[in-house]
Amino acid sequence: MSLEGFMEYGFLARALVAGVLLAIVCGLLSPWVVLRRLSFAADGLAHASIGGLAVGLVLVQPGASPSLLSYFVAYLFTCLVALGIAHLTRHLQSDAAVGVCYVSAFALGVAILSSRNRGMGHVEHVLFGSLLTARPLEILMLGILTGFVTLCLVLDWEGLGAWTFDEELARAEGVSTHRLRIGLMMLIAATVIVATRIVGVLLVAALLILPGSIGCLLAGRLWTLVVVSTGVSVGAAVAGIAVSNQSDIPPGPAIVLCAFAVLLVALASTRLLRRFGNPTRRLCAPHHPSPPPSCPKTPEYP
Amino acid sequence: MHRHDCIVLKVTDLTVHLGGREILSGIDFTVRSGEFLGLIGPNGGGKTTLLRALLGVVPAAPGQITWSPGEGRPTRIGYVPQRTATDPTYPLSARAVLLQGATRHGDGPPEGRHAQRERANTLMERVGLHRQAGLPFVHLSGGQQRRLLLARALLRTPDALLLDEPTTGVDVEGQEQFCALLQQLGAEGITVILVSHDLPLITSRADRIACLNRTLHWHGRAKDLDPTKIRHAYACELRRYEISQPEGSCAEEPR
Repeated sequence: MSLEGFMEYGFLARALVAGVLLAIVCGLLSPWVVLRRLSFAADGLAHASIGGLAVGLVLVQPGASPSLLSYFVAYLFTCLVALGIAHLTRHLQSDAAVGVCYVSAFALGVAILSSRNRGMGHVEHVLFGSLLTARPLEILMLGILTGFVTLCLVLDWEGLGAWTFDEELARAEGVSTHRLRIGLMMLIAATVIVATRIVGVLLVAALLILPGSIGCLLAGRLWTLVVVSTGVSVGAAVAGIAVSNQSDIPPGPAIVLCAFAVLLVALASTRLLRRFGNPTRRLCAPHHPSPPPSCPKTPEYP
Repeated sequence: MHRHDCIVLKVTDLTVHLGGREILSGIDFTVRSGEFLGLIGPNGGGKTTLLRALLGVVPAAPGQITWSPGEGRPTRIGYVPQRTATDPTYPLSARAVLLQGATRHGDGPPEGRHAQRERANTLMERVGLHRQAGLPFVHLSGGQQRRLLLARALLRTPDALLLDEPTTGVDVEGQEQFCALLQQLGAEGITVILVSHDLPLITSRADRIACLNRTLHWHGRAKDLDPTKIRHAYACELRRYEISQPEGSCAEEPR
């Protein structure tokens, strides 16, 4: 189908806009998730959002689709899970804390949805989502979230950079790492809540991890990392929707598979560069005339 | 910058509890501007905790730690940690890691990007890493990483530098050059507080020494330090150590 034909169908146009906005949000957040080793926490929050959506959808606002109120309740629930993870991390290993919280919230969600006779079909819906069911409400929320995430990154850029390198050093340099950690978790919670209905729990986690991982393979500076991550995410979203439009593959999996294909290409190009080029150079790093691979002699201080 | 020889740090009856345990108690000392203070003591003696308390990362009661303001603004403190918890696949270049240290001070207008880069280049040259600027940070050797972290601390134009065992794992020549650079910084008026286990190195370079083991066992001029005081702080006999190091021979193996 041509672009004109694609845009003639309102639901397809909404799917494209929602996919691109979600890709921008995930692309902007992904580098920090990867650099701070929060991939499992992001995945855990995505799963925990099922509990929140179940509470919001079934107990607060009965109906086929979540309303703004049920989204808000779901967001509060997921934020509570994030705070629970932060609290349990003081007593347990961090991965165990994530695991404990997310399986409990996930189980609660499945239990509520099943007990309300909505059947496992609904659980499958939140697991895999459907981009074609994106409504103006989700697009509006994604638009606001995109603006808010961009604003947060601009305001906290320097602190985030220091935090990704070393938490204790950043704290010593006056960066409020606790605020950054809580803030990032809140943004991830908002993203997974809005995205769950569109691409599903499983795939939003992938979108929060894959673009940043690709950026880490290709970029040598923080801003190029974020640009690469966002670009890859948006490219994968557009390509995934196009592939989905031409085949029977649902849009969510198609988007993630496109991003995974880019990751494979990035890995291969990095390996080729190591084998045949400068082993320390990255594709998106600034070129330095002759950086030595190692420093054989300790340089003289002036 | 503080006026040379004025008191820049005053620690009064500092007590630190962590996890219900008393790590430090009754610590009293002062440090003057441009002074090179060496902190020695056994493992678990609270040296790193003291540095963290001085940085404000570990809570201390009000009035126990007083940094004197310099030229009408809060004292800027640079910190070089013992090691960084950086992932081996951390992708950013040495220059990018250095520039991360240029966080806003909050005591003046933010510095422009161009000026920051110029200063970063100058500092890279000063620590001898200008040719490694484009390499990923994790590709640098341990000694190069410490020097880069020193440059990162200097990017904040600090009044005081706190260094936690920066010469551990660095070869003798590297240690010597590192300490020479610290002495240069002291001459420029930057106060240096260095934690180290290398007694010959620290006694030959530092102006004053503080022996710490949960509490301050001794604090005085480096030349007044003798094996009795060290034995008292370490609570054991240090047979390989003698205080009579010839001037400027810190690179030699301890006898």
